[in-house]
Amino acid sequence: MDHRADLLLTPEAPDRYRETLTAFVAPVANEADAVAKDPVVLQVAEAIYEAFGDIGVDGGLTRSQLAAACRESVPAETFESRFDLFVSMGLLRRNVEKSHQMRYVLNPVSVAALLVYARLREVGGVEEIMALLDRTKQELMSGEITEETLIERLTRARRGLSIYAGHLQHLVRARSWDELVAERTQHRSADALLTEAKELVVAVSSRFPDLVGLGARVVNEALRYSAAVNDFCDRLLEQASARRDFSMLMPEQYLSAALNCGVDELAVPFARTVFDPPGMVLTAEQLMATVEEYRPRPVRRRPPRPPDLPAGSDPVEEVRRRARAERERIAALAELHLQGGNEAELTSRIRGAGWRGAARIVTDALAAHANPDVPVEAELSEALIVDAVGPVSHVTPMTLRRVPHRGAAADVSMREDANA
Amino acid sequence: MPDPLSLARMRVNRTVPVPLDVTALAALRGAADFAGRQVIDLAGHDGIRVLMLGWPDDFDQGGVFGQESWSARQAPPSVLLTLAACIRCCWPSPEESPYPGEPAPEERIMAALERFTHADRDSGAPRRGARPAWKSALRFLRACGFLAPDEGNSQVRLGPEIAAWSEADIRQLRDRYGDLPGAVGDA
Repeated sequence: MDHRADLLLTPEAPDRYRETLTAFVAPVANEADAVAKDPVVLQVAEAIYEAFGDIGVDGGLTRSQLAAACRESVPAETFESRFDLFVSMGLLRRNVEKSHQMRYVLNPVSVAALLVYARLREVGGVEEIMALLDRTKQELMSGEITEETLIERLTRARRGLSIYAGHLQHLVRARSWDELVAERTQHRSADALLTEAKELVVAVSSRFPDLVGLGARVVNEALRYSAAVNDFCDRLLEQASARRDFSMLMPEQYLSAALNCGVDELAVPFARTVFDPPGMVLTAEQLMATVEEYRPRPVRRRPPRPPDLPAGSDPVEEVRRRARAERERIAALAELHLQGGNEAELTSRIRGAGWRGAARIVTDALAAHANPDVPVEAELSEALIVDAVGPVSHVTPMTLRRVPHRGAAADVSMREDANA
Repeated sequence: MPDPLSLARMRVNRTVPVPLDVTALAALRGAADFAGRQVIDLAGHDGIRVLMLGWPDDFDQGGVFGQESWSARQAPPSVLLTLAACIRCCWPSPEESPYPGEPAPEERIMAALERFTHADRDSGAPRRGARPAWKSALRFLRACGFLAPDEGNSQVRLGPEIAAWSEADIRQLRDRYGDLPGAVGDA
């Protein structure tokens, strides 16, 4: 891709513009500081230009109207400081030359000057040479130009081109990269200028054959200028490539390169770039944490089935048999205490049985009471009999009583307890 | 006088031969020190001493670079498990230093991973579904220096990045050596 023309597109810095203006007014300057240092002064003139252009009131604008219109663009004090200067230098003129007339109009010459300043910001003086060539060609075609004037303009254009070509060659040979970058916006029209010069010379040769030699010298200088611009671009490209200064490229060029260039072309800027080999941050702790996380879990195994029961008595039935035997035993004991009656007082028997025998009688009676299948109940008194000399020193009176159907009653009682 | 060019060369090539000139070696160490790094002197698989760039022992590389995905490449679990199997298979004795270790056949690494992940548990024969991922992990680990470059003989050797691990890292691996994925027959 050829990016030569695009290399010359990037706007320049404000300081550079002031240098351009200083050089521009130097031919008519009275002192070295003829151009104001503060760039805002030009903004005041631009604001006045915009005010007249936008409001467009017949008969001009008053000072206060201008100040109000410029207020958003420039500070009020700056406007006031420049207003009298503009009036005294003729940028602003009274609409009517009467002492009471306070309306002002913008001098058309100053309008042209502001347009020139804007062109200087964008393209530089080469454009003026091209305009001179174009204007000369138009006048030549219409027969409005004299031979003397034509000689004078061709000579002026040749000298200007010679100066610009020499200036560019000096920049390429001797000046720094930064100065080249600052200058790059000034020389965008080399090809168009060369075309313009050739067309003018053709027109000159048909109307003034004696001036063909002078026209050829103009074309030679235009060729020299064009060659100087090419050298200038070559050095810009060379430096930009060496520095990998991608600021020389416009965003649209990045997009165009990404969409249209192949991998090999895109790799060219990095052909001499050194990269670290691929790396990875990895610690033993991370490694072991991953091993731990992905370690297979131990397989859950079903416990082996128990071996078949040996032939013989059934242990469950054995438990039931022992429970039945125990119930029959305590029922027999209860019947023994009751002696066929419905109620028996156990206190005297407890007191005479000694501690061991007393404990057995009490527990058997309570076991009979607790067993729903045994139709008796035991009742303990709240009294306490103390016998310091007897076999059992402390006895709570106890009565054993026969009941008809304790099983059903015990079931109801247990259900109520569970509900509670 | 620090020698940044030699330092850059060492970064690109990962390891460089030990300079014969003492002054050049001092310049290299000076450049590494200036960059906050340190030069690690290690013996390669062929016994030749080489130098590589490492981080100081008190620098927590994982803590600084390992937390955010943008700051350093994060290894997926398949890569970490593959590296763990390589370390176990190439490091026959935990009493010794893991680097340079011994070469191990790729097939043994695959078998260790299948055994670890119980890929052969159900059918009795190894299932090959995960092998492409593990082979890819081997290539990735070779590119990152945790394994030595492939010599075309299907052998796996540990890389210099293992030698750059701190003594604390090595101790952690040594303490849990038995937990690393190993093949049948590994002690």
